[in-house]
Amino acid sequence: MSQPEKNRRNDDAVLYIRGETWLHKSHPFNKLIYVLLTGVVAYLGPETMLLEGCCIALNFALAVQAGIFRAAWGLFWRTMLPLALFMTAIHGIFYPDNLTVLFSLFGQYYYLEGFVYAGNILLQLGALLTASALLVFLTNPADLISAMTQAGCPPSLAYLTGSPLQLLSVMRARIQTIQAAQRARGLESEGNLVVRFRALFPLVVPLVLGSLIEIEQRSIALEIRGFNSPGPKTSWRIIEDTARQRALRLLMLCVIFLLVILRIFS
Amino acid sequence: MPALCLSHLTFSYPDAARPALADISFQVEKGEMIAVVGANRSGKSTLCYAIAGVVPHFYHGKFRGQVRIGEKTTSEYTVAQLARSVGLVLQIPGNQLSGVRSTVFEEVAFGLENMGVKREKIYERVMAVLELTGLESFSSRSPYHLSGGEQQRLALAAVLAISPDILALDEPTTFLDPDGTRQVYDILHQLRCQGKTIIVAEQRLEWIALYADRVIVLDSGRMVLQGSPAKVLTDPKLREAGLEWMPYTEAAVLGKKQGVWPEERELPVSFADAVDGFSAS
Amino acid sequence: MAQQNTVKFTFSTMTLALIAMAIVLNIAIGQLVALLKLPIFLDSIGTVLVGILAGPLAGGLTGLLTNLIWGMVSSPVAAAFSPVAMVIGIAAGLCAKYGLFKTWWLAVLSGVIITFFNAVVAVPIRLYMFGGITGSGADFMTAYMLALGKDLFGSVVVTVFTSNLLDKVVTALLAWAVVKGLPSRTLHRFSREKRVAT
Repeated sequence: MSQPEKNRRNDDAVLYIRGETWLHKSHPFNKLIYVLLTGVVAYLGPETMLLEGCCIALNFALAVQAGIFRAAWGLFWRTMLPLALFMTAIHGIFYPDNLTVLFSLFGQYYYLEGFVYAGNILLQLGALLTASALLVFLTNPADLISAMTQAGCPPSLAYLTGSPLQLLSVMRARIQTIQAAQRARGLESEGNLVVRFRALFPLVVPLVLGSLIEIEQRSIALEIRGFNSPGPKTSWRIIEDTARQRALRLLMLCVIFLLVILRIFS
Repeated sequence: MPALCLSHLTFSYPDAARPALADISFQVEKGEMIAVVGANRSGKSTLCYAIAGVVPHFYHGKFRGQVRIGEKTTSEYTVAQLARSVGLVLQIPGNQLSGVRSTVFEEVAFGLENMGVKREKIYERVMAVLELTGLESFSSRSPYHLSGGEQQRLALAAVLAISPDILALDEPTTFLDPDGTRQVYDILHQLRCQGKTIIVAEQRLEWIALYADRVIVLDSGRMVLQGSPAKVLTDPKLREAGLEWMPYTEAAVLGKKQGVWPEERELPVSFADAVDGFSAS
Repeated sequence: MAQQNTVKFTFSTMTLALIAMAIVLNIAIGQLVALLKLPIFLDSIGTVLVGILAGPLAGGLTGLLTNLIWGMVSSPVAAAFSPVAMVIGIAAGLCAKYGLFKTWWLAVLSGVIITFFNAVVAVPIRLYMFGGITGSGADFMTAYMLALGKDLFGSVVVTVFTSNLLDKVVTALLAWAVVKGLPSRTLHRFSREKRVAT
């Protein structure tokens, strides 16, 4: 089962782009909290589209600084374009509070209220998405996991976050192998709906069964390397955390706290 | 005192019709290399698991008898504690990766981190085992971008880093090509010369003949033969245990009948042996 | 050795390896099914399996982490739905606890129950974060309901329920079939194996 996948040298399945900028080097938690902060600003902060627009602009400016603008821009459009098309069309026409006709197209009226509503939602999502892009493109998952461990997070949680990232490319290679084998045996994975549905089961069941049987070996491999050792553990990889980084983190947390409090009491 | 001592070890998996191991007793001296052979499901894997404490701590079931590592009885220690005395290497290379370390170096360091070894010591020990297993040049590569043979040497390096005195290997070369297999056996040979005690379950008799000091044959969980490779690998009982003689041995038997193998000479268990014998007559 | 699940966060290594593998299965199979353009997602098959084999807590964790990791590797939008995935795992675990994965028709019932809990959490997220629209084929359903004069809330409820029913029933059936197919030695390694034995 593991034989064919060894030859495939897939790249790891993560979005992280290597780099040496200050954003790359800033502590993983800072980037994580920045996402949280953006979310809180967009969804709980003052209700003005301008603010969210500024967030998006700021995030893209940061992306330029970190040299990941193209990747962030690509992700932004891939995610936002279908959302925007569906949302403006559907809410422009059907939004229940629609009153003011903006224009008509092919005999269909489009309303202002729906557009405003859609625009607001899109900007909120856009702000959160661009902040997340900074996190995923600029943070090596291995560093995030090491940071979690250093902050006293249990090794089991670090394992659950880290190992799926590594296993994903192995699993994708395995799916390709099974698909190729099935095609060779005449099981189609293209064609009409019924054909595709029928191709699914012989693909999924052996894949899942095989993977479940394999986890025995994987857990033995953890045990024999002392994963359950009760004593204190050490860490080879050390994540740099300066006083300035910590101060920034605290500041962001305070702002988040303030915004939440303000929201509750207003 | 023997490095490893099994006495009357019997183990059944839950719901199993027959015991996976039945009344197994043997001793292994420090620095010995023992090969365990047998057909599929003869109990080779279970024996390796029992030596590392995976049986009965991970696989629960009916466990009787005793496995002693030096002075420790395995049933009284956890798998993690035993890991400092026994290293276990499994069959499938990829399944032994921790999955939480992104370079070969860190993968080897994983066990040491778990044991709380200090950072300065980690570097020293990881580099030493990477050198021993010929992986120094891969140290900053992803463990997932290695060949099967390299991954298996990595698995070996990862358990060696914890510096156990005993190594148990469960068919470590099944998924390796001849080159990869030879590299693994070369490393095992070196380790044996350094005084490590090695127990290796293996299907391919030709490697055992070359490297093992002693061979143990299992059949349906019972130990049916034990002795030097030259004796065991030419014993007719080997076939009753569901194994085949090696081609050289078979050839010599035929040769004896036709008078091209010296009557007095013992049957060969290696290619070199066979060539010698045939050219002597 | 394997620790017992007495304290909140001490899963055995077997459960940990199971959860990690289930997360990978969720993502890999979810992406595969999306490529095959089927009217189901199958991206919670691993979550449901963990719910059955290791209980509601482990199931919920599997779902939560699946979507967070999915957000990390391909689309951050998935992360927004992590509470939904978590509820699927909890619901599957509870169904298994009460014996609702013992036969295939009970598994179908479990699928329906999971769909219900899925909707309870998915509707508010879809509504308040996404304004009811997620840029997928299901949006046509929402548009249709809106065109019929339903309010946004009602439209989203109907959309979420109908677009998930088939998926969750198929997922529950597949999970049931997989557990039935597991060798008993593997099954014995999980704490909850009795829940599926008939």
